[in-house]
Amino acid sequence: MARSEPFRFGRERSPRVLGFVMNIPTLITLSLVLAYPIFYAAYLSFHKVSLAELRRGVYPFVGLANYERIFSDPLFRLSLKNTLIFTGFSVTVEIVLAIAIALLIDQQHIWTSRVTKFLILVPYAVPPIANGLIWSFMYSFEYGFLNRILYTTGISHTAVNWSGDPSTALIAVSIPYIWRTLPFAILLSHAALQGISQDFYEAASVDGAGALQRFWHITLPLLRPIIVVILVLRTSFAFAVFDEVLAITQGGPGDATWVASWYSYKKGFAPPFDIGAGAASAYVLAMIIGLLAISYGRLIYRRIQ
Amino acid sequence: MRPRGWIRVGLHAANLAVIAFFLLPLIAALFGALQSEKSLHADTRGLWAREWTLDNFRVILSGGAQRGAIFEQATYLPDNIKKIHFALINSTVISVSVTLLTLVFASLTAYTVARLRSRWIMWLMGINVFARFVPVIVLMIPLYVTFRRFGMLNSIWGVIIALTGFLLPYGIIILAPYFASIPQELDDAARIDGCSRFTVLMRIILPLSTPALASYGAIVFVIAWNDLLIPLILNNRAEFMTLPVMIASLVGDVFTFFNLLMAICLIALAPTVILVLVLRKFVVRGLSAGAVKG
Amino acid sequence: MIDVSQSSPFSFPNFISQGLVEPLDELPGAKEYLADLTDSAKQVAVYDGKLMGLPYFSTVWVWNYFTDLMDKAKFEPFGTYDELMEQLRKAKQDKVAEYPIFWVAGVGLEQLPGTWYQMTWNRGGVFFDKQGAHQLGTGSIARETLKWWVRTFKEELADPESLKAQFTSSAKAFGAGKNLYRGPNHHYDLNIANDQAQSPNAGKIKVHGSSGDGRTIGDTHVYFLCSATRDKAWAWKLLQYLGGKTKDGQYTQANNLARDAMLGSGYNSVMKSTAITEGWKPWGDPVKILEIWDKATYVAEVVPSIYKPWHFPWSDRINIEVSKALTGQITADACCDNIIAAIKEVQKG
Repeated sequence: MARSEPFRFGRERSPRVLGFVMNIPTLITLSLVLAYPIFYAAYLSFHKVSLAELRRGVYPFVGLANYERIFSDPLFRLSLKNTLIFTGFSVTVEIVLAIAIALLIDQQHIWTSRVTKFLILVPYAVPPIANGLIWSFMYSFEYGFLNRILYTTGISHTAVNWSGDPSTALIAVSIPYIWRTLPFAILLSHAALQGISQDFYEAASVDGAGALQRFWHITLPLLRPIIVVILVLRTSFAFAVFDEVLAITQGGPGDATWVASWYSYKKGFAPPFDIGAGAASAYVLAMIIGLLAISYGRLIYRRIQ
Repeated sequence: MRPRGWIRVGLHAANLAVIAFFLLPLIAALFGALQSEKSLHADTRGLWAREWTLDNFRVILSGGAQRGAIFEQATYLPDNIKKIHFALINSTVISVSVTLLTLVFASLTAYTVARLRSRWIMWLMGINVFARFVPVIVLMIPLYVTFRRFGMLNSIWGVIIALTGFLLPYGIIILAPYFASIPQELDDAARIDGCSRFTVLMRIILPLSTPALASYGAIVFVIAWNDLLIPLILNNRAEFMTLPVMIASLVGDVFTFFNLLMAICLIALAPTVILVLVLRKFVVRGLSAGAVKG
Repeated sequence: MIDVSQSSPFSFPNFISQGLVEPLDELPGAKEYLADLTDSAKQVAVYDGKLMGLPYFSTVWVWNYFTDLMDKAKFEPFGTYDELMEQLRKAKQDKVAEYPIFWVAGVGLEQLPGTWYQMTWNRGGVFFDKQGAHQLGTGSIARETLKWWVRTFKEELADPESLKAQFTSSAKAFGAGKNLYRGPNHHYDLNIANDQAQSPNAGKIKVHGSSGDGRTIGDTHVYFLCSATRDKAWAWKLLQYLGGKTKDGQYTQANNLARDAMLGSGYNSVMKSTAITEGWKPWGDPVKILEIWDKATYVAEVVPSIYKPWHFPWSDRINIEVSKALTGQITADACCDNIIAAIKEVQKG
């Protein structure tokens, strides 16, 4: 793929200059919004920063104190644990559903499959905060939409406390998240599915393989690369879930749905505005996601090779 | 192979279940938005409102001026409702500007990646693959402190720049491979005719890349429109709020109206939902390209 | 930059200690405002002897009951907590209500903690004594109050939605008419529960005082002048418009808030005026509410840590631990022990 021959107009000096000039807008924006803040976050995480320090513009150096504080905070450790559970659950469910639905919309002859295919992008376009609020209405114990469905269909006559029960609250938050992010996973799976040559299936049919065997021995192995891509991408994004938590549970009941991003947000942007500890906790999150990103980069690199 | 008999029925049933799952929240939101709280609370078990009304939409879209029957007495409408027009305008201005800016910036960089390929540019590309993983939540604190220092809090521009920065890597990842797939011979022919590299980009590469530009543009618009954290952190005045921030601001305790909230959620999600349905093909292509190609 | 901001009494000391609040004493007319402040408002607005803000609104914590279900159960509003508990159990048993009581137990600074503060104070307890020692140990009134409160959840007498309910949302949920009582809440919620256009049971939600001598808590929210303001004269005008008198010499905002939103005021002259005695009438009985008003103490007497910078993170912990106790994840004793341990942690900063 790499183009190794020398530039035909290599003698001109312009490509170098041009290459720089054309990248100026990108360089400036990325430095201001990504590069500088990333290093600045590291800097802040080693300093005492709250509103008073912000006003004075002087941040006393505190070494590793912020990190020591958050790691000795049981709530932070719990937030990480909740994030892991949330991510593990939502990504697993998402991958299973994505493959199933991708197979479903691949049925060109079924007209309802075409309707599904048309509607797949709808959740993708819904603002996460709106999604969260709508689900919090659906979950409401007293007058929510889901309990109304239970009553009306006669499935149950007692209300279910969907998001208010500490043992299920984390799952309750993850379902709207799955709802919103599933389209992406379905599309990737579907694209990969379409890339599988029919020849494989025909050969298998000749051998007398049933549908389930064909799926297990042909489709699934061929989908494996894309499953890994979905796994890495979705895991790293699910680690940073925020909007749905804000809209539905605000961390509750108790500490049942405190996740890492909620912890950072509360530390840094709620009184007493402990920005240093907030930055430190966000940095821990960044490190975890950074590791995932590196593995993703390697993966993609190998695919290109 | 055409599936037959009960398999067909099963597939229809599965599709109906998926469609129901996808549409359920929208139906719930409509159910809430088309009635008053009084009606919602008068019957807490049924799926049919006691009385249907458009008053929730009326009061929001008129910025609280037209109250309809529901809100005639309500002297305690949330203040932010009155600023809804700011939110609509801000969200539009921000999303459109971010889309245009990212398209321009990403095209320029993608061209250098696809055609110039000097070492530092490839390195920049590598950083972009990495940068697209950075979640906003990780950078919100330094971003807040940085923008505060530069006096860019509470301004539309601050949000535009921040969002542009966050969405740029994604575009470079989509556009660079696409540009690279355009045969170099086309460039060369034009250059022999005396075109500069920049003219080649403008006259040949970009016109040939409209599908990729549309894909990326649509995706950026959706993400920019939907983003909550960046405008939430950078702006706290009602005049600078976007729709998602306004929605979040109504979540607090002070006189929240649940049905109003459902209506405003529907207003916020309508533009992006319609956009992706209209540009479906492009969005689908863009999403898979952004994930797989590197 | 922002010129004028508002604050709850819980954040105000924090803002002041961070240097964000400009003192008002030297500004023209400040003395007159100070002289008219209610005692409760003074405790929030005056800090270290300096006037730091003007009152936005004041409120006291009251109980509510729903007349239809009370009639159905043939109950008179309770006089003691034991009586209340008996009524709740009987109402559940007789299927008058699935969940006879609705609490304000949503996460917040004065929602879930406020309910606990109020009932503890009403039973004669506090959270810290004058020397700053906590009063949450074994046998303490706060702990016993919590145990009693937890029981209402354990016996499924309390509506599970309570844990999500803020003041307004709980008023609306109560307006649906499914519970007999609503626990301690801001008095002005009656404005919502008894709003003809919003509530299917408007007019049937009544106010009720607390048990025993009826003592309760109250607080005042304030507007303040930001120290970062560039134009102090203009900011002072804006502050007076919001939290003081308008050009015509009237407390226009306070009067409007009383009439429209049933809010109380931090000014004596407003509290004694017809803005209150007539303005509140559409939703509740002003005489009865004002009687409760006279029995209210500023919440900081109960929880003096409000003045400490660590009160904020500490109330985060209160919210978490008490929610866990109410949902049965930990016992009330473990909850109090955790909250005591948290004091030290948050003090470290």
